Amino acid sequence: MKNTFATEIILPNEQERLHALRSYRILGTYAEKSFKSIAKLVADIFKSSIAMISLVDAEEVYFGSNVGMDNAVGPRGESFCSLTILKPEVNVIEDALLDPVVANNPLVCGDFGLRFYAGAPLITHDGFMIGTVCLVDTKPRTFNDHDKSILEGMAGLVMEQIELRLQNLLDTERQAVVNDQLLASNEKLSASEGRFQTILDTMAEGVRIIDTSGRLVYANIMAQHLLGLTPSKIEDGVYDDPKWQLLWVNGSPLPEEDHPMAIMMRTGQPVLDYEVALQPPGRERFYISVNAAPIFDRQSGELTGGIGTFMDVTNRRKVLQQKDEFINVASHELRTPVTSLKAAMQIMDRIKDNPKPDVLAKMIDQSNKSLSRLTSLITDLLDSNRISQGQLHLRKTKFNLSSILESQHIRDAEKHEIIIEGIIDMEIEADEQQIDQVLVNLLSNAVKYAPESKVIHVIIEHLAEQLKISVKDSGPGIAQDQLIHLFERYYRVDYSGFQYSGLGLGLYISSEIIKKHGGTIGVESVVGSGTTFWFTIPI
Amino acid sequence: MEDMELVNKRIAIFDDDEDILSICSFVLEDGGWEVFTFPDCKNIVEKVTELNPAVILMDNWIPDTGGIVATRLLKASPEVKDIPVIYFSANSKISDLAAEAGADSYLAKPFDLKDLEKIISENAKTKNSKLS
Repeated sequence: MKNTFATEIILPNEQERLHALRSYRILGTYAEKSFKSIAKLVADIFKSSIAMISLVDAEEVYFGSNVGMDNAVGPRGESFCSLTILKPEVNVIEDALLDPVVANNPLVCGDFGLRFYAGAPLITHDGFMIGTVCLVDTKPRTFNDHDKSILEGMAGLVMEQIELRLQNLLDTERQAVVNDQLLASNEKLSASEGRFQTILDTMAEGVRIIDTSGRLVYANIMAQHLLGLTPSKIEDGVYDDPKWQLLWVNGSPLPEEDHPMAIMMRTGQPVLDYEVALQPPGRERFYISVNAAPIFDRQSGELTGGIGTFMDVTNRRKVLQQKDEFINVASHELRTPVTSLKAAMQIMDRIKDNPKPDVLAKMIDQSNKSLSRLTSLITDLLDSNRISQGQLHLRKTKFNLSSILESQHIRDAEKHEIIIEGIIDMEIEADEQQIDQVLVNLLSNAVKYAPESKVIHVIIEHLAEQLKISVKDSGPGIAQDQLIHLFERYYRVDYSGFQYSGLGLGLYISSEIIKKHGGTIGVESVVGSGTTFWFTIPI
Repeated sequence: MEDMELVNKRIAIFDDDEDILSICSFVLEDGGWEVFTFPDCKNIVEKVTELNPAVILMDNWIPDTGGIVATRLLKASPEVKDIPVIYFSANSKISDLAAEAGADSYLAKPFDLKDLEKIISENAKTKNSKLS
């Protein structure tokens, strides 16, 4: 840079000064309306034709003015403003020709003919001089203290404007950043909400949220499904639809104060795994397990609502009930043959020192009989358990029907005769052992429940695509209302009720076996004439 | 109790399990009892009135009505209500069942023979016993 002044125009703090100037981000944006109007004001006050606001950069000086200088930028080395920024006071040159510092400056010597200059530096809040407010004339003139203070005031005004403008800029930028963050944050929230909504909509539990008055404010899809709610019902519902009865699991009505949500709202404590029954109008009763948790305001700690999650436990209860029943039935069934086995053993123990052969023989016979009953019971119980767990597997082979029919033997065969009718010499494909089990079951039932029926018929019929086998006795028959229950898994373990014990498991297992084969099983009976059990196997 | 004379030595057993009927008959006959067995409780009041046993053994699962109804029937009939009924069953809740039936005592299956004999001799109707 060519310095046309007879003095050093760069001060030691130049780098910091430049940094301060640049921090205002004003260079290159210079033609600001307010600067122009201040420049005009200065020109008017001092009745000068040229008034400017300048910014002194490293190599150049940038001008914004009203009139006068055509150039908006000039070399620093030639500009009088470079001198003004050397000291924090107004710089006045009343007659340029009389000042040796500026005597060789091209503006003075050249065509322009600058004679008068007055400039007040723009001073930043941290003391750097970044530019000037100045006026210039081609004739010398005087500039008193009052004039100086006006010019200083103007410089102060301009500096304020620059500071304000920067603040504005920074604020706007900060706002933009905050807005971006807000947007990003909103997106995250939205995504998170979306995720939660998806979880709420797909989970297998119902979720309901209530406010402090018990009004329902939200129910997820599963809740709507389980409770028969529609979005419009949610709008105006309270705890529950009054048409739906809430009951204790034993069937008696549940008072409102014992509703798990009510208890939770009253105590402020969560209520867990609270089972209740729901009786919707026109539908089967079902059972739910409810977890009710309070919602507290994070700051005030006040109870603001409650959230209930619940799931359908009807199956769970059924399974548990079945397990209980199974254990009850199993223990009962097993104890019976054990009783006679134990008694036989004890009798033998009593006579061991003086054994009578016929008594001994009878007791041994009884023991074997009881043991065999016990064994077959255990097998039946385990089979039925396997069946209920879906573990009944068929091992199908091709075998001749005659092989299982002719080998049928029953207890007390002396009292009964089995007559086989129909063609038995045929190949079928089925699980031989299991079909044999079915036949044994039907035959032993006939013997047990129709003891007077001397003859038992086993009838084989070839129907369209099936083989039908019937076991017919001429015993007392079974009452119509009992017939439907025969193939159910158990007689009900109920003090007052009584059904045909022993028929419970065998027929259940047989029916499952036949069903697995793709066949059907059934019974016909007329009280007084006899009973026919039949089953079909597809061939 | 053993010193008191029994009205008779007849016992009626109601049970649907033929093995139990068989084995109990054997043991009790050996002990001098006249045993009458029934696999069901049809016309029970009639049968018991006719027989007039000193004691009755009643199973819980007896066709057609079950032991509870059968026992109640007996206890409701003036002719036979004084005959002691010993309830027996393989059911775990036997004491509840016996109470519900109104039986005088109970015996859980499986039982020891000596317990069977003991409970029968303790409960059997004596000549001057009055059951409330």
